[in-house]
Amino acid sequence: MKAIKILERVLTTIPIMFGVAIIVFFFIRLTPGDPVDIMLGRSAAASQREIEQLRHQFHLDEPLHVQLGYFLGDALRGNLGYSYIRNKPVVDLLVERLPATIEMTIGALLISLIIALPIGILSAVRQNSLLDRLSMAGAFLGISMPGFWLGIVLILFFAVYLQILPAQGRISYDVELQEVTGLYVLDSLLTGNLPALKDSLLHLLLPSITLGAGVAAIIARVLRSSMLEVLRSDYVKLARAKGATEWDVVMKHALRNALIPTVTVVGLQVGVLLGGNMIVETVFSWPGLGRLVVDAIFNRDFPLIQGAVMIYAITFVLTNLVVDILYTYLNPKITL
Amino acid sequence: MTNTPLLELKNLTTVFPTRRGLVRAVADVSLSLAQGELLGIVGESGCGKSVTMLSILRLISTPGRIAAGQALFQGRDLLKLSDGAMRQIRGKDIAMVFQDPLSTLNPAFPVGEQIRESLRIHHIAQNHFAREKERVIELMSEVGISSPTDRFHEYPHQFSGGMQQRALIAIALACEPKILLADEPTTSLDVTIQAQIMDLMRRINEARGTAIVLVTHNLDLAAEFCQRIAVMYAGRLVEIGTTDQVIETPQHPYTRGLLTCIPRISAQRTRIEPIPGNVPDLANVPPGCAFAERCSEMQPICQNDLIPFFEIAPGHLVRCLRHSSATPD
Amino acid sequence: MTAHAPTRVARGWDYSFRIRLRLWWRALAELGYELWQRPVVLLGGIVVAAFILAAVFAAQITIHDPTRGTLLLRFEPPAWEAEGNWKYPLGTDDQGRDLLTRIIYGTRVSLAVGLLSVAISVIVGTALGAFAGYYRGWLDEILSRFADLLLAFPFLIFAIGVMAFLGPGFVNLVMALAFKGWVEFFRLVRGEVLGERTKEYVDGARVAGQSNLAIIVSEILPNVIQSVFVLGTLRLGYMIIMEASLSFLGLGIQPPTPAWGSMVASGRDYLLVAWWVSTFPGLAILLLVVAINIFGEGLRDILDPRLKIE
Repeated sequence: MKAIKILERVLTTIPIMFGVAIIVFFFIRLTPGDPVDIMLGRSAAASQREIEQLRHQFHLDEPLHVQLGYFLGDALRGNLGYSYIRNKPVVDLLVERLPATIEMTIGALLISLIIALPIGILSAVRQNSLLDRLSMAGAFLGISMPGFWLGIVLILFFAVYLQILPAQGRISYDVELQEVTGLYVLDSLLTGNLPALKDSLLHLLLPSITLGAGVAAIIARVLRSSMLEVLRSDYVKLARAKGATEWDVVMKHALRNALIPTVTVVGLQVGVLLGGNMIVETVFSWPGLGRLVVDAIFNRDFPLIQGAVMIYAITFVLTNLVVDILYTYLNPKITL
Repeated sequence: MTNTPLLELKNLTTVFPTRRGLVRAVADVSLSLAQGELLGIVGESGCGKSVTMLSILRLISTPGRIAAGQALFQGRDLLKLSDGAMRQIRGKDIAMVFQDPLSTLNPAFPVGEQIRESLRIHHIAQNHFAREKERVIELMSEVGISSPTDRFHEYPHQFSGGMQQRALIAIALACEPKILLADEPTTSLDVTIQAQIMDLMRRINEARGTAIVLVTHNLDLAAEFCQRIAVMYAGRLVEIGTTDQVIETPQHPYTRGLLTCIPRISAQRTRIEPIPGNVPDLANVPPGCAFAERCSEMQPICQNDLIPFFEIAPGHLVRCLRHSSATPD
Repeated sequence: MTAHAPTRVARGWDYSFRIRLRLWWRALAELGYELWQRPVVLLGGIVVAAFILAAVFAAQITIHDPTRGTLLLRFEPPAWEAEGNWKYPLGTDDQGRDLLTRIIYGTRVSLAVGLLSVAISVIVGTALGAFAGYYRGWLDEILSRFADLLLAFPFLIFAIGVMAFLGPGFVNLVMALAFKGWVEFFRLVRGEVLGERTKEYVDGARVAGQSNLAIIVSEILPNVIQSVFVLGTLRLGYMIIMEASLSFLGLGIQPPTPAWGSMVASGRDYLLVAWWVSTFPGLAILLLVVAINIFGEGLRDILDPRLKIE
């Protein structure tokens, strides 16, 4: 029963994706600037014939709705066009860069959860204690701090001053790793390559902290306030009246309910992480999607921007899906 | 009934610091409960009856605290037990039924699971799942939840209010406690459901000899159900006696006020007379009788010192100076 | 949270202007008193005021040129370092420009972009929210759907996208931020107006023959303005971080105009030789945003504790 509901919910995302694709298409086609000029660059020596040829090649000489048809048809076949600047299919570029971004985002999410869950719980249980005050002051700094600056300060301290962590890239040049999935940590585990595992983890640490810090701050604040509310509830009182241990009262009865609003916030933060990726990848010269998009924006490489927006939209829709499904498991009152 | 009471409160005092000052929510309450007894604690909301119950289980949340007194359960002072020993008593020897069943059941867990938890905490069925589940289903049908096998996996929001309260009672009964503290168990329910729940509690009392403390603002309900009644006002007990003594010959002006507040169908149409005035601010209870300001029979002396209990008949105690001829207890 | 609820201002249609003024004055005095009771919040306010003064009088309080430097003097370390020079208290950057001077001038960009984008968001969001909440109907339907759609986008990605199409620059930056920023004010005001429009004093005003516009402007808005003010303060810090992030990526304010974000970015290439070039502009952002947020959260606790859930 639940599986069917979930499948239904998955299917509803398809029209949404179509809508996104159409919006993205028109947005980009309606922006001023002729793509052909961009493709040919400022070497305006190209002949009229060459321009015509290019126009035809990219269907730019057809009416807009026909162009849309081509675009959607291609997209369905997994073809998102050709990068004007890099002379490579957009899909190839995206697939090449995606694992780096996924790896960093997962790292950031894990680090923020590892930091935020215990802090959110403990500072609610020990409200107004020293730990609570320090954590909340830290969380306050976390939401007030620009991510790029945190990254730079971390580089200055750990890479320049202490010289114990690498400042950029995903892996050292002298470490060899056979790529399987493109997630270096996973790949080194799969191939049993311990030096590469250590090296890629070290490279991952600072970017993940930088990206995760702000998210951790928000999660900790939300979890703390919902824990405080839940801990005052009648059912927590009942759990105590049953003779349950404090551990069970907090970790089972209270946390389970406090997680419901927290999961919503974590879901929203995934979007924030996607934006943050662009910044953090710039700071740490991380060869991921965010860096690719920023470059594409500078170069006005529209097919690439278009493709990246699609990827972001898919990620966003999928995240919402996961949050919704998680929600039904946490909150029995909600059915999909 | 044996001579040593099952539960005995001695000068129990529970306080809450607030911005306006220290609130003495329970002030100097002494009370005893015999094995298998049905005791009612009656008073208007905010008079400290619920806090008294929570104090017995030591469930007062910070910054509130039990400032003085003893709560002797089978001769042991609960207030001196370690946290671990106290947990052994909660739910096992003394269980509580709360006021609002919907907010008291945990919305995230199936009802059956929540009943089973009581068994598991106190190792009633040797933590054997099948045996626990069997016992839970027994309990559910005992408290009148129909088709318990199906409802085991249902969540609180799928239960009606009456069924939720039955589930709460099942949770409380799971470990066959010696005392059931029922805090306004029927207030949020329909009148017909109310009667069913009270009936259920009476049957439990008869079948198992469980002593029940019924906390209610409804003097009628207490009169119908209880053997003895204690009346509370502004954190203090003002009158204790058997139900007949308190209802037929109420001695404290507050008790009498409560009785005239109750509309009766049987008697001729009499006017319902509200008690004039308001409950004093608990952070600032005047010396002497707390009820003095609202009392029609107030004399200047009433506001001087704390009034002691006077025993006007065997077992009938009242805190009122009109009975100062009787011997102070 | 608060010791006592502050006076709700100007409730009731028969209040004369004079009474309203007195009520406002009393509310302001109460606010001052509450602030005095919270030294940390007050300190936040003072720091914000100091930044504003620095931005206004940047030309008067600095002695160096913010955009032109001497290459011979590049990477002078901060004054307290061994080779430091008090002429350049925080050192110089890669083009030999005084860092402190540029940070002080950078305050202008951050505050101007922040304040302007919040101001536009407040005006647009409040106006649309008030009309949508008051008139309901199709206008409300369309605006609310649109707001929901915008809300689904992460702020930074949205702003980056808009900047990608508009191109960098001050005006575009403000527009990009305000284009998403108005949504929250819209939702806040719409919700408040929905609640207020059925209250007696609005009926009273209607019976007294006031026009709908007059009712919205003079009866309803005064009651939601405190919440709007609190939210505006809280959003200001976020807008400043967004501006800095976009400038850091090169999509915001362009060099040589001193903006904190682009200053941090330019120092990134010289982390090994000159740690101060990136560090101090970022510290300025942190300091200003922390001060704004402390002040904003303090204001919220005093004026509108209901806003607490984010």
